[in-house]
This record gives sequence, C-alpha cells and structure tokens, in this order.
Amino acid sequence: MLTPGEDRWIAAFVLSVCLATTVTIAQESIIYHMPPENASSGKSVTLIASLFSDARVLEAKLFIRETNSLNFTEEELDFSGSNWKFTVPSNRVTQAGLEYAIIFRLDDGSTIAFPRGDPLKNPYNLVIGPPRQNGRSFERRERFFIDAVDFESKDFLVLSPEPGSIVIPGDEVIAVSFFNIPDIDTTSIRITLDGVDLTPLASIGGGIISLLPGELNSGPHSIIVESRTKYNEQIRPLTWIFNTAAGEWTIMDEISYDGKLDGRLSSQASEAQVVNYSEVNGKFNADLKWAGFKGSVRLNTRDNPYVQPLHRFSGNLFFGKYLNIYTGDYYPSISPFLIDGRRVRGMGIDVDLKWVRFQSVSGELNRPVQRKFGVDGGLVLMKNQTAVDSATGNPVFYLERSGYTFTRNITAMRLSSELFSRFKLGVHYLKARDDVGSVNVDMEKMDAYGIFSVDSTAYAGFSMDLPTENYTYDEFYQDVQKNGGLVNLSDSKWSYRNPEDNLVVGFDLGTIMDKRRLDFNFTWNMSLFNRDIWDGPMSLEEMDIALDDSVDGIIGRQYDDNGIVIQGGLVETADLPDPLKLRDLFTININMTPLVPIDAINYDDHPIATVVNMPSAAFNIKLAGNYPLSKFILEYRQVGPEFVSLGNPFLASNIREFILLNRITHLFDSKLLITTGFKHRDNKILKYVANPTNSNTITLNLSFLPGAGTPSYVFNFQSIGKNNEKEELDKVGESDVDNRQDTRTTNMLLSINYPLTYRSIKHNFVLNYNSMKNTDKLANDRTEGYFFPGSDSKSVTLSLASRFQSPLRTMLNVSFMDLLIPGLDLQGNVIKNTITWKTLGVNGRYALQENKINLTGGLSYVKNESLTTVSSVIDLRGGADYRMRQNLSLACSGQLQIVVNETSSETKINTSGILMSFRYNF
Amino acid sequence: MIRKSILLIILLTASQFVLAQRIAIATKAMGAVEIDKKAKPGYNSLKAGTILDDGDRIRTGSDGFTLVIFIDDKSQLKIKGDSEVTIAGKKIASAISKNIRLENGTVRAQVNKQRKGEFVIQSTTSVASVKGTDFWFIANSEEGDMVIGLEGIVDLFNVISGLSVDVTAGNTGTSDSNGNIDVNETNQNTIPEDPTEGDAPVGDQIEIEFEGPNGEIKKLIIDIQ
Repeated sequence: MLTPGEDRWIAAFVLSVCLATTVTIAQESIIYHMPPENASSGKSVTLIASLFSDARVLEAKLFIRETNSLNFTEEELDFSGSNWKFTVPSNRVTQAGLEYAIIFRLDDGSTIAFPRGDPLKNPYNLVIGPPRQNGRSFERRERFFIDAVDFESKDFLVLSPEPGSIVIPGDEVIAVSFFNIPDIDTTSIRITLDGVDLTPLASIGGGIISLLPGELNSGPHSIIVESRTKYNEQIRPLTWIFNTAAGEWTIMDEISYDGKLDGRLSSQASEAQVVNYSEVNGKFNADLKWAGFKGSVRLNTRDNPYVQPLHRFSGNLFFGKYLNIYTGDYYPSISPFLIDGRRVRGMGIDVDLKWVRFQSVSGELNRPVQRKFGVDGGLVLMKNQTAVDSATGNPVFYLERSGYTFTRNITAMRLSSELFSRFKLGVHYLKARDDVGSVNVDMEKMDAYGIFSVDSTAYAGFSMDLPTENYTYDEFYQDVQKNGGLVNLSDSKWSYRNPEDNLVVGFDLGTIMDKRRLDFNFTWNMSLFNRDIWDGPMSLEEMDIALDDSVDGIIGRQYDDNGIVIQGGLVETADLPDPLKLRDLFTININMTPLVPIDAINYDDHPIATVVNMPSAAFNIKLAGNYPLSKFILEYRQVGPEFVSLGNPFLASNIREFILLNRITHLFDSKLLITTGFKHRDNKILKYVANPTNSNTITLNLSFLPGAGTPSYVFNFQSIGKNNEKEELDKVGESDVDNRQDTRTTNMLLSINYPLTYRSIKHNFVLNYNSMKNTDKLANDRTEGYFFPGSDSKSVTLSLASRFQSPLRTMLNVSFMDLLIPGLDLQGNVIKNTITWKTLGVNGRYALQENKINLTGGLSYVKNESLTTVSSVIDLRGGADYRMRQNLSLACSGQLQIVVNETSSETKINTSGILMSFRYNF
Repeated sequence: MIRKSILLIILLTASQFVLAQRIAIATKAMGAVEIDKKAKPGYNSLKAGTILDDGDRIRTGSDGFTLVIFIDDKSQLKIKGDSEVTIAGKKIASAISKNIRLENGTVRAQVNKQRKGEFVIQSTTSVASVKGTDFWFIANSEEGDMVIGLEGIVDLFNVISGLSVDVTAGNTGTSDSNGNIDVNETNQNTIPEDPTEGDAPVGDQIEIEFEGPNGEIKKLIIDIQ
C-alpha cells in the first residue's frame, strides 16, 4: 500500500539516492528506482524513478501489465520535481501482481531502463499483498440492527401518490401509513376520494391504508382520511390533492446526459529548469435509453508535432448491449497476441449478440511524424558516405531524412462464438502496414526539417571552406555550392527507419465446464512480418533467385558447376501465389520473416509439432478454475522468436512459459488467504540454442486477516532462480571469460497491521520488513576478480495513521533502509558499499465546513549516508481543496524541497512546484 | 396426541398469518414482477398496491421494475430488472428495521433522512448500512457488488474480509468475494437508469382548466405547500 504520504517518502528517498551517488556517476546516465514496498490490492501504487544524466529525456515510459499476462500497457511517466512518476490506479492493483519496466529514451540516442538488460522480457515483478483495512473504519459490524428511537412525528404519512404529483391514469395507488399513530382506532378510519367514501374498498390494518380506486378521470383529485383515537378523540383529518394526467411525451424525457470537465495547471522548478504543464479533460455522456453516446477529450500542452499525439479524442456510440461503435482514440482488445489495449485512432465496431460476436478495428497505430525536435532531428548528413564527383572531382554530400515515423495503418477483425454456454471458438486477424508515402521530402519547405550538424569528417580529404556548425538544408546547399560540391538528398529508402508490414492470423477454441467453474482455452497464432518494404513486393522470378540462386521456375533446385541438378527442389514457382497479386494483403520480399513459415524437412515426420512450433507461431493453453476454496490457473504459453504483432510490439518473443497459480481464499472463515505460484520460463523453442536462459520463480503469499479491528499479518516470499546452462568458461583470446549464470534472488516481506483505539483516537499501526538478497550460486567456483552485480537491500518501515474525533487525519512514518551495492575497490577486490537512508515524515489532513474545505500538509526528512556523501532532504508540502458547490471543486497545492549536503556544507532549494486544478460535473 | 399435533400445526400456520407484519407497499409494478408471499409460498404476479409483509420475496424479469415504499418512514426501494430481493423488517419500538436481502440484481434505496429506521441491504458479499441516503446497490455474486452513492453516506461492509468503507455522494464502493473493498469516484456511465426519475413529478402547482359557457378557458392554479 502506498499512501500519498508514502509516495512522498519514496520521492524523497529516490532523490537522495541521486544525491548520494552524484560523485561517482557524474558522466553516466543512471536510472534510480526502488520498487514500492508493501503494495496491497485495491490501493493505488505510485512508481517513482529518478534519472541522473547529462542528456535530456525524450521519452519516459512505463510498461506495465498484470503478472503473467502477455501485454504491456504503455504509460507516460509524469515529471514532478526531480522525479518521474506514474500512479497505477487502484483497480489495476490486484493480488495477481504487477510486472513493469521503466524506459527512458535520451536525446543522446541512448536508452536506459529498469530493470536492466531486457526490461520487457524480464520486467520487475511487484508482489501485491491482500487488501488492507481502511483507516476510515476499523470496526467489524457485529449487528445490523440497532434499537430504533421513537419517531418524533406521530401523524399520518402519505405514501402514494405524492401530494401535488401527476399520476398516469391507471397507475393510481392510494396508500397512507398510520404506523406512527399507535392509538388510532382502525375501525374509525374513513377514506373519501373526490367526496366519495371508498372505505369499503380500502385495505386497512397493520399500520397502512391502501386503496386501488381504478382508473380516474384526468384532473385533480382530493383525498380525505378521517379517524379517531381509541379514546374516541378526533384526529385531525388528512387531506391532499393529486392530479391525474396522461402526460405529454417530450424528447427530454427520453434523453439524459451528464459529463465533467476538469483541468490542472502545474509549474515545477528544478534548479534552473522550469517545467510548466497544463491539461484539460472533458467527458460527456448522453443516453436515450436504447442508445447512447460517450465522448471524451484530453488536451495538454505536451502535444507537439515531433511525437505521437498526446491529445485524446474519443467517441463511443452504443445501441444497447449489442452494438458499439468507437471512433477517435480507442483501445481495442482482439486477442492478447494481436492487439490488446493499444491505442488506435480510427474506428471500431463491436457487435455482440451473446452467442456470436464480431469485432473490427481500423485506423492508425501511429500518425506520421516528419521529424524529431533538435539537431539532426529531420535531416542528417551521412558523414562517412561523402563521395567524389567523377566529373569534377569535388565532393558529393549525402543527406538523409531522419527522425520520421510512418503512418502505421491497422485493420483487425475477430469473429467469435459461444455456443450453448459451453463451447467457444473464434478466428481473428490483424494487418498493420506503414504507409511509405506518409513521410516525404518537400523541397519547397526544406527549412521545416530543421538543422543538422556538419563537421570536418564529412569532407576529410577535400579542401573546403565549410565551418563546423549546424546548418539548414538551404544554408548547407549554398555553402557546398560555393565550394563546388554537390548535395544529394534521396526521396526515399532512408536508413533511419524502414517501413514495415505485418500480418497475423489465428484462432482459438475453448470450453466451459462444471457450471462455468472450469474454463479451458487454446489459442494459436501465426505472423508474417516484413521489416523493410521500401522496395515493395518481389516478383516470382525474384523469389526464385532469392531462394536458390537460379531462375529455373523451381524453388530450391540446386545445380553443380556443370549445371546438373543435384537437388530436385521443393516447389515450382508456377504453383506459388504471385507476390505481386498479394501485395494488398502482405508485402512478400526478401525482408520478410519467416521466409518459409514451415520447416518442410521436419513436416513429414512431425507435422503437428512442426506447425505448432513454427518460429513465427505463438500459442497458449490455459485452464482456469474458480472454485469456492481454490482459484487456480494452469497455463503453458509459447511465443516463437519470429512472432511479431505490430499491434502489440511489447510482446516478449522467444519464450516458453509454464505457469501454475493457486489461490486459496476461504480458509478459517475466509480469514486466511494463501497464494502460491510457480513459473518456469526459458527460450528453448528452437532446437539449437547455444546458451538457453532459464528462470524459475516461486511465490508464496500468506495473509491472515482475522477481521476489522484486529491485527492482520501478511507474508510474501518470492524466489527467482536464473541460469544459462553454461558449465564451462569462454575463451576470448588467451583469457578465460566467465559468462556462466546461476543466481537466485529472494525477496521477503513481512507486514503487520495493528489497529487500536486510544482515548477515542483510532490508530492504525503498520510495521513492514522487507529484504532482498541476490546470491551467486557459483560464487565458490568463480575466478578471482569476478564481479557479481547483484545488490541487496533491507528496510524497516513503521507508520501510524491516526483518525481523531475532530476531522483531523494524520500519518507518521519512520523508516530505515540499507542498500548494499557491489563495487570494486582500488585493488580490484569486490566490496559491498552500504548506503543508508533514515526517514521521518508526518502528513495531515483537516476538513472544514462539513468536508467542503480540506487542508493538507506534510513534512518529511530523509538522511542519506554513503561512503562519500552525507546529505539530507527536507520536503514540505501543503494544499487545500474547496468544494464550492456539489458539482464544482477547486484545489491548489505546493511543494518545496531543500537539500542539505553535509559533506560540502551546502544548502539549496532543489525543487519547488505549484499545482492548481478544478473539476466540474454536470 | 395426534389431535394435539394437528392443533399445534394449525396454530403455527395461523400464526404465520396473524404475525405477518405489514412493512411496505408496492406502489408501482412494471414488466415482469413476481412476489413470493411468505405466508403463501409460490410466486405470483405482483400488482401495484400489494402490501408487503416481513419476509416476502420479489423477483423481476429483465424488463421488470417495482417501487416499494416502507410504511414507517416512507423510505423507498426501487427494484430493477433481473433482481431477486427478500424484504424483511422487524418492528422495533415505533420504527421498522429493514433488512433487504439482494441475491443478485440492482436496487436503488432512498432512505428518508427525517426518520430513524435502520436500513440495511445485504448480499452474499456485502452489507450496506445507511441512514438518510440515496444510493444504488448492484449485487453481482461473480464480479462483486457495487454501491453508487448519490446522497449522504453509506457504510459498505465486506462480510468476507470484515472491512468497511464509507461511500459518499459521487463515489462508488466496490466489494467482492475475495474480500476486496474500495471506494472510487463514480463513473457516470455505471449509474443505472431509474424508471421513475422524471416520472410522476411533484409539482409546486396544480393547474386546472375551466371552460366557460362561451368557450373561454380559465385556469385555476393551486400552490402546493
């Protein structure tokens, strides 16, 4: 669980990491991120990373998914103060866990990520604990009923129709309660409607009079109820009037609408850098009962022509539950292997008739971007390709377009059916292709492509008066001409990025068993991917020569030097489809993967295995059980090394995974929850893999939650073993290089949550202990000087959340953390540097005027000690939100961070910021 | 012995009728709505004007809707389609403690804030306890329950984990069979349609038209206080 207070603690903590290591990493780009501790289901989690780099951040992205699922969702990290952060909403934080990777792209061309290595293949797995008790209410409700107090009112209560209401003829039900008149003499009750005594028709007794008068004429009607007490005292008669009318239909009776508008404006200063950001969001819903429309828009100041759009415009027109039409930006989900939540700008249709469903997607995955921001963002000089003009002997400079992104069009469809609530089947396909013509060279507007750098290496060997500096195309063209040279800018086939083409087809089968408690699914998919379609499709002749070096009309026929056939060949080109005729479906040329989908040699012996295990195939088999005592998942999935879906570019390929998860929830009256899991992953799909990597992950979660008002205990354990099956040292020249990997990472968390009430103040005390240890299982077998990079950590956190009888809420945090980072000393020996953080913080919230005004404030202090640096970070935050009306609220907050570097005796304001926001619902 | 047994059975059966406590009345019934009277088991069509006793069960078809008004404090329970509800109420002092058992389906509770009767809606997973509140309760045994606060405060309690949260206006509480419970801002799209909203408006005035002997129209306007 991460409360906002803890968020700030982590922010301060991450910053202090940066400060602590500034001395040692001055020139290197380093990402600092500590995964949040003790995240619990149903509570939002804020992931915070700090980047220490001289380069500017072009993109800061978080890729996140539920543990063991296939698809990452791509999120933009927000810059706040000195940190990048993203808050994972509570509905995505489940006990299934989260896997995530943080990737920064820098303007020096480098990319830096957490976790290191291949972050999308090996994302960080964040264990999510069970839901926590909410601090707002600790009590277990023992009884649902309390003794009621006598009503103050002792008179009649008109139940129906309401006085003054208009009733549709035929709907008249007259009902009066005398429940609160215990001394009424029911035999004395008389009820008259429009002066007519209808007492004989009424049902009187049990505290209620009811009367069905039948359909009345249009107009006003009066009712009088007369009665006496048991002591023969007259009770004041009850009279009221209602109206009967057929009512007029108006369109507004059929239409309902609502929406909201919110916005925020922030300004963050970090030393000399000031980042301003503003955003406006709007949502509108209109409902005609049988149909409706939902629209949303997001406008922000980060949108610019150098990146993919950050504005969002969405519309959803729906007709009952049967037809949905999406337009603008939407997030279709066809299949985990095709597209599953990636943004598309275009149009989608979803027809769902329960037993059959049709989904279609068409639009753009990427919009065209003509250039990036900055030097060499649109044009780049190919410095090593400068040639000599054979006629003049002068240099010919080659320029290329850069920084562009093609329009990537997508179409996808899925037809699926669930028959008899038992059998499921579906077919689907996806096609995505870059539009080569979407990136252009407009010679009339060459200045629009920005500036590019030129240095002397571009014309080495030539005598030219060409200063080293940045040029626009026109400036460079003129300067080169003055020197007698030429400039060549091709209008296509630039090397910065090749246009791609992709086709994925697949099917799935499944069955639902045992009263829908068992769900079995199998899905299989195959992809064709072309990584370069600059040249378009090849002809049959080109295919023939590409595959066997001879144009003889037979693919695979081999000849000896004398032209005698030594291998008969596989298939005649005449029997193959003409790639030119299939150009609309897929671009077939030498750059496609796979060139030949099926291993024809193995196919004869093992046809099914050959098809299933095609390198360009991906499939999974999953059995999910949902029983009262146990919820389990048994799954095998395989994604071939050549499987590509441009609708899901973050799908990890070349993996085999076996997953077994079991969750037992109803032990001891649902007080004990046990979750166990095992996952094996390797990359041994192909027969020959030199050094396969294997990882085995075991997880265990025990949660004992006796009930509200009592202490709860959570224990998480995760063990990840990795090895590459390498047993021998590698030789590089005369040297031995130890590339063997056999490691184990254990992560343990113990959390105790103890609620207590002291002097009418409700407290919630939380103690967390977290330990992470990396072990090299070959440590005793390593050569001297081998460097094992795994770091260890230990942390203890205490927090006390208090809820006072006044509208005051506070939270006090104290934490200690040791991070042990391996390094080399001056003698080359491996040592572990210990960095220690001690933190203290308090946050509070006070409500005024019945929650109309909420004041918040916080103070935190973080002290960091490492071998080289001692520093402190003081963080102050404050704010207020004001609910002006039920549907309008305003908020304002500010933050100030002061860094005290005790080593250099320097104190400075590190970051400061202000945030203002509003929200209006209508 | 046999006679005593028969007499006992008769007394017990009779007590069902005698002791059946009137607690509410159904003032609207649209579409398929059926009632299973505790005193007379078996489902029969429910008509507007039917008086409900403690323990009566109501179920609605996909197009069904009924409005139930409690007699002690005029609290209302609107039962939408595909719902199954047991209405229980115990008279305690001069109020009725109401316990609505919702197996599955959607109800809207408008609890009269002027009165003091306890009002509880209970599903297999959750208990919503309220006073002076307007909210929707959507019971879904598979996906979890949802309480959408429209006015006042609802105390939503998860019977599995023992946790509870306060659901205020504009927020939605969720509670599932895994013991999870949470509160988030209401997604306006999730608020069910209320068939009676806008229907039977309470006017501040009643207009009555009179036609004179010469055909002239005169209008009498009665202000409702």
